[in-house]
Amino acid sequence: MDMTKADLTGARRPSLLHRFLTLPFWSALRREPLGFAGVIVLALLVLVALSAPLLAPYDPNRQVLDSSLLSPSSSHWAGTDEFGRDIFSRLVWGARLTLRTVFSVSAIVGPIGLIIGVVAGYFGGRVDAVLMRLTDIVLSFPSLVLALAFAAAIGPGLNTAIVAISLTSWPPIARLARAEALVVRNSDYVSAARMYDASNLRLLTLYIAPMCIPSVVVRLTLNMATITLTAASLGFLGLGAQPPAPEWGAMISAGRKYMIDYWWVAVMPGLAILLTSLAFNVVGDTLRDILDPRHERG
Amino acid sequence: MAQPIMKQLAAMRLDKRLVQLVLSLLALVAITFVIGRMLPTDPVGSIVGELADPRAYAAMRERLGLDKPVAEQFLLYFWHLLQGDLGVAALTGNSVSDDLWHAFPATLELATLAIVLSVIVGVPLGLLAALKRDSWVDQLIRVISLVGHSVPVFWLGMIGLLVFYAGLQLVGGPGRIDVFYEGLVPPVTGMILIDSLLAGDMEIFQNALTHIILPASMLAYSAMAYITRMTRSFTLEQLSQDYVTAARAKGVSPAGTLYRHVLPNIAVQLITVIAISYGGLLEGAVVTEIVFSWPGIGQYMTSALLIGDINAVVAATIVIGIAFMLLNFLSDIAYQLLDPRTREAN
Amino acid sequence: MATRTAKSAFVRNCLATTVLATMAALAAASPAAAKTPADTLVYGTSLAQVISLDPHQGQESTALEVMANLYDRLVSSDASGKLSPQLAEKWDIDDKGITFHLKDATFNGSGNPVTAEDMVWSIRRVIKLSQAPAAKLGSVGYNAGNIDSLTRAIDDKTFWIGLTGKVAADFLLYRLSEVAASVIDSKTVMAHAKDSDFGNDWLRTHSAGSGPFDLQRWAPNDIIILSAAKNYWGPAARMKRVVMRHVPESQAERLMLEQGDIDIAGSLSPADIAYFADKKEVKVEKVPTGGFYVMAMNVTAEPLSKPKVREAILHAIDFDGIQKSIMGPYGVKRLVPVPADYEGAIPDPDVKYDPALARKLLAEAGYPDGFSTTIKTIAQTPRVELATAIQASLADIGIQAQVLQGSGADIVGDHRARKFDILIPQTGAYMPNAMGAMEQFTSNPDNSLAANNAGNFVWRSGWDIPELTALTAKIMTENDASKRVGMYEQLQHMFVDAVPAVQPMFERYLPIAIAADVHGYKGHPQQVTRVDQVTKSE
Repeated sequence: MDMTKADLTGARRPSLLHRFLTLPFWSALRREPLGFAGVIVLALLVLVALSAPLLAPYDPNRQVLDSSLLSPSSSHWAGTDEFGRDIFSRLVWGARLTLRTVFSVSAIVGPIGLIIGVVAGYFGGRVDAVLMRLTDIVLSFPSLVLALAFAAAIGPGLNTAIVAISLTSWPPIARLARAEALVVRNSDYVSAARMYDASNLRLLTLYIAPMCIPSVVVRLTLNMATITLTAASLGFLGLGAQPPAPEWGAMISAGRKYMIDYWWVAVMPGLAILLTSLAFNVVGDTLRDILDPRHERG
Repeated sequence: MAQPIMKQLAAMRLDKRLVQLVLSLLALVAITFVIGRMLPTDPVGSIVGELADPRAYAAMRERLGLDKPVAEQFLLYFWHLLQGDLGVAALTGNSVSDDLWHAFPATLELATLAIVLSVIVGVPLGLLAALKRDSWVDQLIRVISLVGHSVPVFWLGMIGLLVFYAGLQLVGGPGRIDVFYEGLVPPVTGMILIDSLLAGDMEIFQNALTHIILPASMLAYSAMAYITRMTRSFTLEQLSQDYVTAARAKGVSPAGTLYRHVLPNIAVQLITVIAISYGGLLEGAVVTEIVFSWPGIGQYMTSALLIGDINAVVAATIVIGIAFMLLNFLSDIAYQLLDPRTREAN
Repeated sequence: MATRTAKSAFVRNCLATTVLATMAALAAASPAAAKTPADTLVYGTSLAQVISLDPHQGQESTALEVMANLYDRLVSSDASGKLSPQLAEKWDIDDKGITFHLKDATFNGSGNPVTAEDMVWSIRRVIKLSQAPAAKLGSVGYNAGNIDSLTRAIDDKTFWIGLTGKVAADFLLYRLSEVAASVIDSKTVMAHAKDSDFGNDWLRTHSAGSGPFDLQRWAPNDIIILSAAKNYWGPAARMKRVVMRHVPESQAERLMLEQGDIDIAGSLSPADIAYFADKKEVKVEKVPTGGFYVMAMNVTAEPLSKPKVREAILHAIDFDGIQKSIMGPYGVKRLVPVPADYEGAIPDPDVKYDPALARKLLAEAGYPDGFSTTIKTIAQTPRVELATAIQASLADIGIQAQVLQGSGADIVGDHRARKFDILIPQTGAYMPNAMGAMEQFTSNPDNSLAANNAGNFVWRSGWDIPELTALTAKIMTENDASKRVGMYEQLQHMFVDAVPAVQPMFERYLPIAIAADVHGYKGHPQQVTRVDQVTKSE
């Protein structure tokens, strides 16, 4: 694989998996204090989600009606909600729901977008035209509104939210993968492999798709902030994870009824969403800067 | 670029785009229909109430057309849609098209003011960030706009109401005007700012302004990030061009260069960015409207969601979808017409 | 974009533009010094599900209140249940029916006199339109087959309505005091009739009544505006306009009330009602509904079909604690389906909160380790909170209940189809007396699945109660009011002893907050509150 590096459209962008893991932006990231902070926050978030049972001081669903709506204190860092549940514990457990949504959507959308894009880019012609038309159609849908309608139709729940968000978030990935595939398709090493009578399937899976993965991953990171916000909106409207699950958007929605007198009930989960989404945005933005100074649109 | 060629090109692209638009609309309608039919229950119960008599129940069911077989419902749905008839909303008992006709101007008014605000603030910030690239100013602007891009707007709206309405009493509360002003201005466009001006009622105009400014600013803030970011990067791109260097060499000031050369050049690209943001705002208004009791499509749709009124949900989706697609379409056309380089960039 | 000076102060310009834009926006938004005008009554409440203002169709509570001000009925009842004349001057009752002698009233707008013909036409229209209100007249025995022979205009000013034998005459009078029995200007409405809709399509969004107000504008889910009727036949309304705005958010509503943007706030959350409790500028009124928050248990399947299990559940729930922490102004603990202050009400049975006893009962019923079940509720305050609290209580005795909340459509649909384990519905009294509150809990003529009597509250739970049903029917036709009282008590005791599948938990109140300068607003349990004599002090 070494020989191909130099052939790949000069300095346009790094496209190799191994370059993705080893090279420029990890070091560049260190020179970007903001992006670095974002990475730290995300790492912490994942850590919190993983060790929720250890970190959360209380059972997130345990109701203690006597101690409802307590303000933040040393025993309840983020106060308690209307059922006397510890908000901090709920936030910690809620991180799991948020991250599960974000990663599930990415895990669904990434491969779908990659396959569609790579196939379109590799085969070109009619296949390309059909797939890209489909992509453009879905791209032009109002995604949040469609997700709302979809979630309303098949009944609320975390999985519904995941599917609803996935439905409309694959097109940007497909477009990107196609652009990448177009470049890789004509590279020398693919032509070489072709001369050895490699099958289309083999070429696609072993030679072209892997080349597109790094930029797809970056694009997915950029999407994660949007997914976080969409999931929160769905939760806010009662279409996400169902009570008593500590979904952040749903927590805001519930806390809204008490917001004037007990600000923390709605403010705390809002801050959690803001922080998470901001971290994703900062990291995505930084990655984009490092990888492609000219920026993708959309 | 010879004029005739460009025109021809634009015309050709227009055909293609139109086909694309029509296809997209058809796909949207098909998908929304499928979504509509997936709903496990019917909305009859929520209309006739918990203790209704079976006869009343059946009557409402019939009125909503839910007593017919699904295939027939499907055909009827399509047929009616072609005639602009979106069915009867369980939520209001009105025809959905009437409802949307009344709700859409409110959303449009809100989103329009929001986009104006976000351009007025976002573009200068973007230019500033580009000029001061990598300075603390640039970083600050970046953080400000990223926060705007990351904050849940409905949450920000709640806090905004708390601070600016309840606390500082600086702006009007939920709703489009103070309640007792309702019904005093004849609805012409459905947009209160315009209607009150038409009626020459400055008191109501001012009152409406105090009400719209908060939700519009919140939405504007969330849309600003993208506009600022794109303005910055377009500007940076232009600043690195030879003609800028040349102009600077001729002694034109940075400001002069910016006004005379850079701005006109990035204007075309910005149109697209603004159009996309505008579409996004129409969508973003959906959740924000609930917080501000804003009687637009968003509130309509979410109220309908809560009672499972799928006719209304589907129709609202279609209307927002169409507005969204039309905006994209128009911006594409504008882009094609104004900038022949688009094709290469794609 | 005008300056072309060579000042390299572009940066400053950019900043200036930004700041200016923000300032301009803020300056335009002058401080909101709102205060509602003295001749306008302004409501903030939820207008969701107001889908018709045709009194023979609409039945949502806000719609009822609006229509009560647009239309007159023959008789009206006050909040305590006392009947008084409205369009009727007086009436005579015999064992065949009731004869009403009408006042000299006119319809607004058209100026037509209100005649006995309008009465006949209106009552028949209710039945023939066959909307939800038709069920109300249906429950006292009227149907499309008998209504023509049971209503008659004796002369212009004398209207007769026959008894069906299903209910006593005074129960019928209560029915006639409801919005469903509003009298409509037949000439005006029929001028707008299409096909056989009796003008429904037009009347849904217009008014043609003889009430103190006319409908000026209605934008669904947004606003309803009433204006004082110009030629009202009675004493003119004190308010020129009544404006009702859709404010679904309790906290937003609270802010608006506090800032003087609205005079009356309905649909406030318990926390916000509590906030106003000690405020001088606002008074809180708890409007009784005569109805209850109910725990409906589906007894067509085990384990809920076992009375011991239901008894265990009753002992597992801390009703007093829930009332204090959750229900607040929305409800008062009451385990019998008759409000405590109604004539004939029995005291609450002595059901102690005792998880240990509950566990013991559960073991005796054969479920020592509890079981799994679901609680369904409409996603609405305070029912969601109630369901969540019940869930926590049940968990204490080993019953794992999952709370499923949904839209009105989903939940009501499931309830009607018997697709639930536990569900939290609510009721209202259709007349302000024991029977109006209790009938829906004690009558289920045919419990078979085939009967599909989904409109019957008890049928939905599959609870077969022939004795209770028979006694209920007997009370309904008992003409001697003093005899009824004893029968009410008997019925309630029987109900409690049967360990009900439709268990009332809290008597339901609708708390509203009213600005202190508003006088004369008195909420009515059947939502027929008149606001024409409401005044505001300066």
